[in-house]
Amino acid sequence: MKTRYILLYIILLLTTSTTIFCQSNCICLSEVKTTTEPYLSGELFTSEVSLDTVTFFNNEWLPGDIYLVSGGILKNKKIRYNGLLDELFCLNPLSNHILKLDKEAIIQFRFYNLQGDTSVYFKKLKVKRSFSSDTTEIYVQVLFNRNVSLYVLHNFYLDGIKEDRINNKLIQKNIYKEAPFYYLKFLNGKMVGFKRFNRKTIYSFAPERKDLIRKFLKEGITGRINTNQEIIRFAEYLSSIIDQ
Amino acid sequence: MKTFQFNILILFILFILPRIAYAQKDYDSLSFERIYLHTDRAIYIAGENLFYTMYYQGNPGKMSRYAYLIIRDQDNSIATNVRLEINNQISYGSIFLSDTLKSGPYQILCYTNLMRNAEDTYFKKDIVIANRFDEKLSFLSGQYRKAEPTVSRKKLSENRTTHGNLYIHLDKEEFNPREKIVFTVEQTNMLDDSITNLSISVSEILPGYSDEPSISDYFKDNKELSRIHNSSAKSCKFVPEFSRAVLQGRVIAVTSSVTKPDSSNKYLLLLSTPDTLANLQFTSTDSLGSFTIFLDPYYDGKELIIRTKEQGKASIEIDDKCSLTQSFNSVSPYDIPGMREYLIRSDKIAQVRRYYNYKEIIDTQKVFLSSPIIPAVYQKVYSRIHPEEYMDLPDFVEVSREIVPALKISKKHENFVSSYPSLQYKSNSDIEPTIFLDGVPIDDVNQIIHLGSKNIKYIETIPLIRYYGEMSFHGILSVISNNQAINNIHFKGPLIKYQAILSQSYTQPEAFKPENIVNHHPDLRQVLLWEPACVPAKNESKQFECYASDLKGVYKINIQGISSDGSPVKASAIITIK
Repeated sequence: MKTRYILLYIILLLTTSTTIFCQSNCICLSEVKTTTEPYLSGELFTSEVSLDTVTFFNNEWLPGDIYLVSGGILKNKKIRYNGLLDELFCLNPLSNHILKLDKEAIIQFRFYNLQGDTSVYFKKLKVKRSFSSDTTEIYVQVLFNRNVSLYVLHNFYLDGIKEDRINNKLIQKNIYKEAPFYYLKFLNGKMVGFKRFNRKTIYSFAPERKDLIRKFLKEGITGRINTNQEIIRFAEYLSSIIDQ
Repeated sequence: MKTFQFNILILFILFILPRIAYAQKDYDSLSFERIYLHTDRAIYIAGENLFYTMYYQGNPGKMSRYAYLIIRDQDNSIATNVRLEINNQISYGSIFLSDTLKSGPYQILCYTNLMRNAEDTYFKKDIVIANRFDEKLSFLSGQYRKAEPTVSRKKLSENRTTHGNLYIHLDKEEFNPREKIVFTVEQTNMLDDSITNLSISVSEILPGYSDEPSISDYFKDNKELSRIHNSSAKSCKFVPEFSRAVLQGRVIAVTSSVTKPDSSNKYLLLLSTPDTLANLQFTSTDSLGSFTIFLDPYYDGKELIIRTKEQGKASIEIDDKCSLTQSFNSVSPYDIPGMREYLIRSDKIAQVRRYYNYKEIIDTQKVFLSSPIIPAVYQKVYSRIHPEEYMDLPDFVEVSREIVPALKISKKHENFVSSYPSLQYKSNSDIEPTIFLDGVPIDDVNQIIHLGSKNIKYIETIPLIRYYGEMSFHGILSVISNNQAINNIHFKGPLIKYQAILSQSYTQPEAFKPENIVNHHPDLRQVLLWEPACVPAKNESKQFECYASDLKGVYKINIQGISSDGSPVKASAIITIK
């Protein structure tokens, strides 16, 4: 009986291994390269003074996708965004070099997971800033995107200089403070930029709905719009009343 | 009992599991594609246009974007070759048949790059082209000097009854010259699928010639094509073009004047086109020198300069997508009764139409141009220098010394070397920067050393270490010449110039209007209607109309199409102009 089974196993083994062997002759599209990854362009980043970690949106290198103007997508790249320079950096896994990516080539970038949040993404926006007469391209985080879009530029300003002693050497260290700048974009393409969500600014978004906005603020827990959550909730509300 | 269970388990593992795995792989292995081509007719006179609609079937989600159409003669010489852009499983357009084509049978072949793995799967259709000045038509044996109407009539009666899953409603089958022909196409036996495209031709036929399979007959034969595909294609040598056109080829090293692949050598292949911006695509070859590169859409229709970064004796071979291994083998016999008379008559018709200056007006529906987004090596212009703004400088040594900041050119052993001494990493400053001339990377500064300020339009200089994909550049110098100096550069390594092709435009003939023809002029159209891409509303009958010409004869209404799930639909009917 045992010999029978052994014989049967041998026959089956031979049959199945032939089947597996034959497979290698077939076309398996999954094994064929069908596209080329687009090229990421940028310059080697070397700064004489290392950038303050405070100015980085994400302290650690985080995996994410980079969407290019050409339509290509670069997947799973280790990226880091710096608000002070308004630049996106990428870590070259082979050389460990830091690349400052060409802003002109990028349209948006997304983080896979930022402290549990999988919806964080930035897009490039053309704006006219107060210090320049020309339009400039900036990266803004997209907080809300419906018939009203709300973006935030993670801007920093120099708040002071601190003297530090490192290895018995006295060095001067810049102190930066975040000063977010918001942009609200309406469906008709109109865009307004503002620093704070004060009542005067808020009413100016939809003067004809001033009463409704006042009611919304009154019904709110704090009556103010400070935190990101409050800001998004307000954008949601604004979107709904403008839709009416 | 336990032994029994154990044995069952072993049987399951040994027998069933590998089969599941095999089935999974087999699905991929059956990723074959099929093409059917509907043409406005089957007999042409050189100098006329051939109108076509191409239907494509592939795996959902893995559809080829491009197809290739070639027309070859009996001697396997390619008369024309074009690239078709597949959109919603179809492509349509026209091909001008050069009036220098000699008379004879020709074959249209249509395929995707993936189908090239099994040439038997190509769509093949025979046509006959006659040259206006060829009175002998010697390709015909002369065996059938006179038409045999009995045979033709028999064939005709068979044809009259041909219907598919579409139905053609005709009020009558015989029409007078210039009479309006109206017919309605009704969908029969169509389940939930709506028709995504129909192509309709109403053209004069020579009964008995080119009774090629309809789209239904062609696409129905799944098993046969699958068998051919799997038996012929042992490996996926030619890769599918799902989104971009592919360029495949080989770098062959030349050793001791004997050409053979050098297994130890891998090459970095650089591809660019002359432009005002430094542009580049690159890939590495495998150990046999083979390469595959998916062309950026920017390069479509442009002349490409393909070279290796490595210097030395080698040659680059680019895979020719029009190369055929199987020779011309007629699908439909052309030496049939009535062919000679039909061709002579068509020749005369073509001559008379020329006399009356009748020109076919072609409507262009969609043009496929190259992408405007350039694969630029750098995006931002750091510093641009216009030498014309300075005093005249005789050569590039002087140009660099006087007007290009940061760049240093020095002489070492009779050769010039360039460098950017103040790069981010000073230790690497000896490495030469990458120099682009007219947008194309060159070997070194010696190739442009003769360029004086008069030859240069502008210079862009980037004294930074930059990355472009996996490539790094120790500074970039881009020189744009006044007179396409790149054409005079002799490279130290192998180079090949390659003309990338653009896809054919979607075209169709302008609909015939009787009021456009002068009353006393004859109407000598052999094609009464060609509608390449018509989408009827779901479960609705569609009415078509055209006008009979002055040419008395037998005409065929030939409808081919495809439904939303890729199933073919067809119908045909015969009418006569008396």
